[in-house]
Amino acid sequence: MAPAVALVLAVLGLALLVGPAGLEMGGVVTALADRLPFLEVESSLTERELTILWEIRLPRAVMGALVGATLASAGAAYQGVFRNPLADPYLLGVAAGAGLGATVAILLRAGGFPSMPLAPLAFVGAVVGVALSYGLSRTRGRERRSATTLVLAGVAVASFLTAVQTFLQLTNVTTLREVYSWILGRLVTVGWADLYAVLPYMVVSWVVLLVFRRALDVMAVGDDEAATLGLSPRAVRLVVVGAATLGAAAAVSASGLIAFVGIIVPHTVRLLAGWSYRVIIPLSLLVGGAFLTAADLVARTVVSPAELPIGVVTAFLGGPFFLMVLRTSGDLE
Amino acid sequence: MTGLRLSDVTVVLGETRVVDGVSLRVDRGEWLGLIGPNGAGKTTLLRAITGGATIETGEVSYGAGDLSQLGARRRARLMAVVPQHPVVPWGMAVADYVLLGRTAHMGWLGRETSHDLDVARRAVVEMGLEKLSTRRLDELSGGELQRAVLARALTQAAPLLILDEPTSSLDVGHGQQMMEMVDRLRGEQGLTVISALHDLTLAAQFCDRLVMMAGGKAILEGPPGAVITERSLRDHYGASVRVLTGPDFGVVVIPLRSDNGPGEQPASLNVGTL
Repeated sequence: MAPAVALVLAVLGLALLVGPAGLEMGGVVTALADRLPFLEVESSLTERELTILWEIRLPRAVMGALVGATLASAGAAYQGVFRNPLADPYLLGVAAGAGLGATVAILLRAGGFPSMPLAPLAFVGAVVGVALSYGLSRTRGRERRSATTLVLAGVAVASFLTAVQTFLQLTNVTTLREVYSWILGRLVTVGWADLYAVLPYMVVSWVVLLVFRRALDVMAVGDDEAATLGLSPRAVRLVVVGAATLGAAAAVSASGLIAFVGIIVPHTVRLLAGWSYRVIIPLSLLVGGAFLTAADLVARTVVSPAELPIGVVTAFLGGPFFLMVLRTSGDLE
Repeated sequence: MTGLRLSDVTVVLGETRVVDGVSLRVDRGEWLGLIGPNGAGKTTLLRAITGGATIETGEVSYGAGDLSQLGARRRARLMAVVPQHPVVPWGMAVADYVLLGRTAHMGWLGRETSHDLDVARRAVVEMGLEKLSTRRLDELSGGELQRAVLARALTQAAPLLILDEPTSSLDVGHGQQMMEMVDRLRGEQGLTVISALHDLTLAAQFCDRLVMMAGGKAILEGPPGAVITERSLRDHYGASVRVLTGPDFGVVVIPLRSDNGPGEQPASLNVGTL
């Protein structure tokens, strides 16, 4: 746990230091120290540099960490309750549903409801996405169902929801630009207000998943046996899927569609720290935060001064990783 | 003392009455064996008791309480189940698996108390799994896995133990050890045991009473010698057998070959050397 915390702090520090306006390390450290209670330190940064630090780099780095933590823990939770190593917010249609919901919210904003928040509608869309994917995968007979069935259903649902979303987008050209950049996944325009808007949903999601992490271990023996051990598998699935979906929807409404974080991070954690969700959930939160902040760092430096959408970076890493999990998933079922 | 009682229990799966009006009782401390041909409804009857199958009509009760009113948690404190084909979770260590049995005794945060750990440790010792406790479950042999499942059931500290074909995947030696372990636990902890059993000889040796099921109904009930007969096995299993009984081995069932195989003259077997 301690190395993971150190990793998060190191990545966050790096994200604050790297960028087109070179901030020197001593100045950043003293500026941060100055904000601590009971400490008065004079930072060497100029007023403009302080603004870059506080209003651009820090919220963006923190948002990266929050979104990464939420997507990674949601992925781990889906894998646990569905007993499916390939489950991920993106592959289950959760992200596409949230995207559709958020698009509808953006359209409503343009059409006379300027204060329409994204997260609640994104959550509704995300719930529809995961419910459709799971429901469709269950229509196949038990003996013909495998780990890939759920993912195939998820891909179909995601394609459908994305088609609806694209249709809405194209028939409302005025909002096209805004939605387009958002769909690719971005942390660009993040300010503190964006962050505060989604943080409560994410915190609720984390707390529920942390409370249910032992229940996820019990679910590993299957619904029948979990029930004889004293757990109600349906209730656990409902609560955990609800919490993970709430978090994922909040993440998607903040940063667009970022794929594969929910696969890469939990499986890496599993390789390093074992099978138990008591470890996987908290570590996925930390490692996920570090991972996405780092991915964002890559996204905004490799083609500097331009930026890659962060979803491109995670998909570039996640595609090969997914294939690896698919190859070994026989062991995980 | 009345333990478990089933009255007129019917379970319907699809269109079929898989369990059809079964009534039976199991006294506390007793070991009841369920036998019957494949598809007779033994597993479904056990699932009706454990809450895994929906009861269409009838009632299952323990003591004075109706079990259908019981939530999963209270039920798990009353009965522990050893399934026929336990799910083996990837990567899990034996000690952690055994500890899963404490789920129904833990609070919402799922923190094990030192008492939970003690109970699990005792079950591990009881089942002779000390040396294997850090081993991964997916690396165990069939017999070792079955002991781990039984250890998990023990940590539930439930007065009822329900076993579905506990010996079906074990060889004759491990099957015998399994039955002896269950019998010892029954004596030490005063458990009431209900098990579906495939092996009629073992069923006759260990169970106080047998119920033979066929077509979803409880056809015969009584002491092993009265239930396992050449006639009942012919009528309900469609089997041609010779049944031998003796004071030192209980009941032995010998299948007869219908062609001119070596089973042609089983009467010449010397019972004393069996």
